[in-house]
Amino acid sequence: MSDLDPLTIAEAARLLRERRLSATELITATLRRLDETEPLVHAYVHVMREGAMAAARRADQQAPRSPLHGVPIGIKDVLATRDAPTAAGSRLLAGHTTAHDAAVVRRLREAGAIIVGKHVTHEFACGQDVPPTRNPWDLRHYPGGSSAGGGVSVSAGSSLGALGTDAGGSVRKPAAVTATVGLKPTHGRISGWGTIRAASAPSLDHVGTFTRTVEDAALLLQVLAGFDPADRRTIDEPVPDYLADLDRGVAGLRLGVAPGYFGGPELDPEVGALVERAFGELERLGARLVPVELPSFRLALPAGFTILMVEAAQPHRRWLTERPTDYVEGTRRLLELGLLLPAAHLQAAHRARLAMREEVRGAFRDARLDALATPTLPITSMPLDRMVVERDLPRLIPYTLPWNLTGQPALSVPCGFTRAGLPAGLQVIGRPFDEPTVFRIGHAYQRPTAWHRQRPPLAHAPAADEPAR
Amino acid sequence: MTTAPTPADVARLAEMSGLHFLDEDLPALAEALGGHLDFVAPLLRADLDDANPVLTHDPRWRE
Repeated sequence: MSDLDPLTIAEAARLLRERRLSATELITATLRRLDETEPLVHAYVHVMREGAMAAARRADQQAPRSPLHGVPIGIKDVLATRDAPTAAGSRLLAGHTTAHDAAVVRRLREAGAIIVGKHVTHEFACGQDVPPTRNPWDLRHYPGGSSAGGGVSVSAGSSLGALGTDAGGSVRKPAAVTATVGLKPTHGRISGWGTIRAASAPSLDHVGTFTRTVEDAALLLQVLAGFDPADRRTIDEPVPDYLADLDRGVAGLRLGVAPGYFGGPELDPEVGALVERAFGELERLGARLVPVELPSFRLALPAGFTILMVEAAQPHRRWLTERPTDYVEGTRRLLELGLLLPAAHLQAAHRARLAMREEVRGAFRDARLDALATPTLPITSMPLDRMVVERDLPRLIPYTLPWNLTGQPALSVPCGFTRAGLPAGLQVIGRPFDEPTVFRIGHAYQRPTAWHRQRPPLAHAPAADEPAR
Repeated sequence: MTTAPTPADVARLAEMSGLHFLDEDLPALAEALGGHLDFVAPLLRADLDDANPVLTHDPRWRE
């Protein structure tokens, strides 16, 4: 492990600003860490080694443009980069290049960030990656999905931040099981222009971030947020100063908890206990927990899956006819199913979505909530050899998918480890465009806790016949 | 549901949708479609008469 590995973006920015660290040193250390960890975790599909070093040398010649100046960031392989292929994890797009950067990549570069590579994604963000990306906390375990490469890389130290996409939990799930911070901002807060359309469900999809701390998530969002006329989903809301309220604490804030939905039979008791302890910590810090009921959220999974499958499948009509064998079988069947679903199902799903949105809006108003708090996942990381994405996905996203339907901002923060040493996540959900309050709660929780400071044991790969924990 | 879809049902449904799937996919798709129909049954039974979403249509020209 290099000396620079435990750095956060904020810490690196301070060292860079004070000229105690150069961008060249930081990128060199990052690439060295990447070389050490990649044979174990397989987080990158493409490393932009020469480009990153050249950008670092340029950054060292310039005055800092933002706190991201000189900071190494990885990009999910569904977001276009003009200097590296974007294949969305699929044979159908192998070697696919674009002349442009995705809007978010362009914003990062303009802020001085250095793109170190493209992170592994599931095939079209909905299948399973082969060979699999591995969870650095236990290499035999699934690291979430479909943006798993980003969570793994930030956790392992081969980038300080990463961009993913999240249509049902694909940023927050890997964040929860890799002990990183995952942000899905409000729908329309960040431009999705330049996301491979065949790897997206546009009304549910969000570009999101992986970082080690909530403060770093705020620093990244500061650069990424804003209206983009090229993406009609973005909304022209003012972009606040995301760091301004970070240290205000949670005293007096009202946090809604909905045990009827977010604590059902699927919740692993050990994960439940860790999240309960996090609730207790927030109470100790002065927040008030307020029970709320959200009965229509029982429809979140069937409604969300219906919309997700229909929207994800549409761009694949032609390829499924002309090149069906270029898909991984499981992905192909999932997309085929999406093309067969009746319009009546989709209409019912949109109605349920609206009912959920009105219900949660009423809960915030009537109970005077500042945010909701839930587990991010009902379980922790699953062993790879027992994982079948198509079968297991509904078990993994009951707590994350609802906020893709309502479009509210949702943040996953590490909240402890099971006895087997696997991470769990606390999720904080805010009002639309109220990322400042979500950050404030997450940051207040991180200050007295040290879960986000723990590093995964990557000293050795387990023997192939060593049983999974 | 009362009757599980068969591979022939899936082939017919695909044909009506202007699609053609590999024969080898049909049995698994029939099973997946049956599973999905069970999965969405609560959604189709739910009383959602008061929820009437209007998918946004902005007639302005953005030029």
